[in-house]
Amino acid sequence: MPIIEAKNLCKDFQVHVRTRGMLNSIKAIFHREYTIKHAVEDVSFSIEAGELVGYVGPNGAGKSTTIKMLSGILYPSSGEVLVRGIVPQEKRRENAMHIGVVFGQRSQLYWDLPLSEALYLYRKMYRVEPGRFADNVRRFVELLDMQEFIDRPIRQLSLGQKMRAELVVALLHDPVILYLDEPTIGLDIVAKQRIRSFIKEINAERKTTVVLTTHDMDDIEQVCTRLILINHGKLLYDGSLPLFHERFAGDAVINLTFNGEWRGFELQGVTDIKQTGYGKTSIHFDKKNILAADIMRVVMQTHNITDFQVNEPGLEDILSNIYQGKTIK
Amino acid sequence: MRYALLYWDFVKIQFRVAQEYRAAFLARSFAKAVANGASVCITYLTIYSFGHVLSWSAFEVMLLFSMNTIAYALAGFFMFHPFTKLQQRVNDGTFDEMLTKPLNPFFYLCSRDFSTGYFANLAVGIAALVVSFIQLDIKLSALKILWLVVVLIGTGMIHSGFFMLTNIPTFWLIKIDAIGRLRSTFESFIRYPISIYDTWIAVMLTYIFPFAFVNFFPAQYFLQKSDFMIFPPMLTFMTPVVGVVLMLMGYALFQLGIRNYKSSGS
Repeated sequence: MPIIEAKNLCKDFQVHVRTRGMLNSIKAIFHREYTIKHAVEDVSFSIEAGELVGYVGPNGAGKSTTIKMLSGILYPSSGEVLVRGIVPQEKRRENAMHIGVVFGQRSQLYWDLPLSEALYLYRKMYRVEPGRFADNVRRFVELLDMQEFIDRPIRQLSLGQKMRAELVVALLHDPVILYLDEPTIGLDIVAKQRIRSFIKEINAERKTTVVLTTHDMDDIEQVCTRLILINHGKLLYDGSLPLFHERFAGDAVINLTFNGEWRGFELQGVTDIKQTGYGKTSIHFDKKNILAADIMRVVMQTHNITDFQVNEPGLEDILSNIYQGKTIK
Repeated sequence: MRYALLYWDFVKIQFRVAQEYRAAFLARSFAKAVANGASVCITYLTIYSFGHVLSWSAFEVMLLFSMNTIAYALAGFFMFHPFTKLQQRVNDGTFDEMLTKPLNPFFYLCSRDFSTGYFANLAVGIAALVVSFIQLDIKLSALKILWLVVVLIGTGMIHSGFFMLTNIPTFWLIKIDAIGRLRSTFESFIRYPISIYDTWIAVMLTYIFPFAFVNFFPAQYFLQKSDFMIFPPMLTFMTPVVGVVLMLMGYALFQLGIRNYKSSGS
């Protein structure tokens, strides 16, 4: 049985129509016009226990809205969410015992307390057994290297330290699901990597299901095994990462540097050849139809090649094309 | 029981915070004591120079004032911050946190924002209350003292109810400052016995915005007065009931509000 199930999930918001001009403003006080914004439209998916799911889409795509419906914060306009077989909005307290949430843009730490003390409060709130509590704290502090700042008030911590503290708070009660809404936002590379490896470690160790939204594609590539893509509130893709590359990746490119004249060539699978400068050419080709090695073999017969690189489109390139509406097939 | 212990833990945190910002805490307390003390004096002096208002002597009016001050302080400790900060929490989305904890959201909201800022109000209120009782030479039996405590809790609940009912609309409206101002306007009516106003104002303060139950009605039992205007005298005993009803209404509205909570995009 899937641990998270979303069925035909929709969320609409009413948006006031803004008017211009004095007369219209006065009119608007008495009678306002609304339009309906479909933040999430007919989204369905199911997630099995232990999966690492990356939930991506451009700003305003409906990512946070979906996560908030999954975690029980927002009520869906229509459709249904089942988490561990229950409706999170109806059994809020039971649901909360089994989930952990981190909203990267919104701290839930107690500003004036050091983490070490806040954790005791959380222990009581979630009724974590003392033995289990001690084990978890020890393990998390070690994995996230937090010894140095655990006794300092939260307000004195750096962004990266705060985010680590958020993760500990979210995981203290051994939740089976962890919702992470932009957990690496604003962090430096080292801090990001630390958080990524921590998430992977916890998932491997405890089979925690992770649903993660992010704009950093390295988060997805390094952590997630599955990708769900939405745009304008609609689901565009749901499946494994390799399959995503296969389906959406555009052409790969070989950049050549050579001596002498460009003589040209033709091959099945080569989609475009561009002269990019003196002695420089880039060859676009479809990886499904031809290998880079075959192209090079042909080109080197007639040209004196001095250097070349093969570039494949990364997740970021593919997504940016999709966000701009270019390559959707 | 679990909630009581947790609540106490949160209260302890607030005291620790007050300790950390000691100067701010002391300055604020001092300012409030001066402001409240001055209000007591002004009220007293006003009535004293007129001799009395209708059948109410200066110390009787001071008793009304003290009851309202105590009520406001009690509500202030427990309910002022949770609900005055609600607007911001709802608008910036930090209310999310209330909905992802294994606790009743109402309880969690209240426990996170216990305020340590009302000791001065409470002290001034109690001092004025004691002084009034002594000056009016009112002897309180043990039973009457017990009833006084119940009444004061009830008055605190009335103010709490108003804090709730005037702030919870923030789930539907983005700006609600005007509603809060309405609340304080009506509250300022009860500095004096409401029998000095036109009947329609008294009716409004009894049945629509029942601030009259904070002092005017319950005080008359202790003062053994019968200045009930057109109202049934038994209203003097109704303060705890009114308090409970207002808070239940607030709680029901809060539950509806949660359903309408929109969070904020991030």
